[in-house]
Amino acid sequence: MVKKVLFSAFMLAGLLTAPRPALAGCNSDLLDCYQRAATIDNFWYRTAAGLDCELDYAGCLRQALVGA
Amino acid sequence: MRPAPAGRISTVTTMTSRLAIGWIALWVLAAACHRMPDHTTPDVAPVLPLFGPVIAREVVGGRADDRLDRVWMLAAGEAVVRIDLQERAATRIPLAIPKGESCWGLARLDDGSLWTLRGRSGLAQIAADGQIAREIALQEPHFGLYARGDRLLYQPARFVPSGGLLFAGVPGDAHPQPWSTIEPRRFPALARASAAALNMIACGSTRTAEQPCWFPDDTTVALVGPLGQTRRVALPGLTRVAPEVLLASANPARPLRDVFVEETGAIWVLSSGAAPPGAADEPGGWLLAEYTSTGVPVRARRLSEAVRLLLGVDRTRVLVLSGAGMVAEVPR
Repeated sequence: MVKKVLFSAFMLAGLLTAPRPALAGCNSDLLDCYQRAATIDNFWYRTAAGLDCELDYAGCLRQALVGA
Repeated sequence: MRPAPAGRISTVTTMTSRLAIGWIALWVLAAACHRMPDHTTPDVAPVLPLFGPVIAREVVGGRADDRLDRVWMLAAGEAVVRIDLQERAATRIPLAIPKGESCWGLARLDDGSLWTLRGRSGLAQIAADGQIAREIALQEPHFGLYARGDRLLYQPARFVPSGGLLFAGVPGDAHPQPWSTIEPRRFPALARASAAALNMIACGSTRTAEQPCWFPDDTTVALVGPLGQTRRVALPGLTRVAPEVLLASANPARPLRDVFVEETGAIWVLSSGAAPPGAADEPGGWLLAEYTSTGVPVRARRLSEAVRLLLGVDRTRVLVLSGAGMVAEVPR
């Protein structure tokens, strides 16, 4: 019984936290980009790469928020 | 069993009939309430195709016009579609940029030159044949580009808001001046890139001296005069969308998808509205609303099909770009 409850809770949490299909692309691209940036050793280059990721993300959102 | 007294029978009959009358009254009331939405639901306005399709299901990243009969659209960041509303013709001109590169925004200055943002930090002038006639490196990345007379309107991509949102300057001007009093909004609960996206401005077409600009989640339009003087006009009847909801959808419901200001000052709004059940999954909005120049609602109608842009308004019709990519008209 406990296992079932835990399993259900786990599945529900997964459903709630999963990105919705619509902007899943922007979100997953951002996560991938952050992961790549995090592997950069140099602090400044890593920071610049992180900023790049955010600009890409905002550019991705722009299509849905401003585009026609 | 003893028969009931006559008086008692009469009381029961009276109560029964009163109950019946009550139930009938309730039923009539319920029926009336049920019918009420029929009066409040907007009329359906037909979207009548004129010619096209002029564009496929690709994102329109910019739009400009000559304030008369010609409209230019940036399609998928890689081509300009020129539409002549008078001639009922359209031409697609691919941009001469390397594959993989893309542009955003389209601005047409008074001298007829067309400009776009190439990549994040490049300002490019587009020649009639799609070649890049001139390219200017901007000092920082940008989110948006519009035009006002002989000046370009820039929206820099700033994650830490400083000063205004829009800046105006002629091409090549290294120090564009703040334009309008539209200020960035703060979203403390959101990541800064999301907040920056919600502060992206969209600007529509105008036939007056005031340019309509708006935020993606807002139901207020900012009308900016030639010198940057700004008046905010609230547009009642539109549904404001929570920022979190807006950020979680590829085709989010936007209260203001496009705004067109007519010569009279009337404000025409294309809003996402509600798609009818079973409607095809096309980009665009389903509600066309007209307001006075001060934001008093005149009329709101549901469209028979989704519309992506408002291309023009005359005395008899509203010209639109339909979700299917057709240039169409909606009778006034």
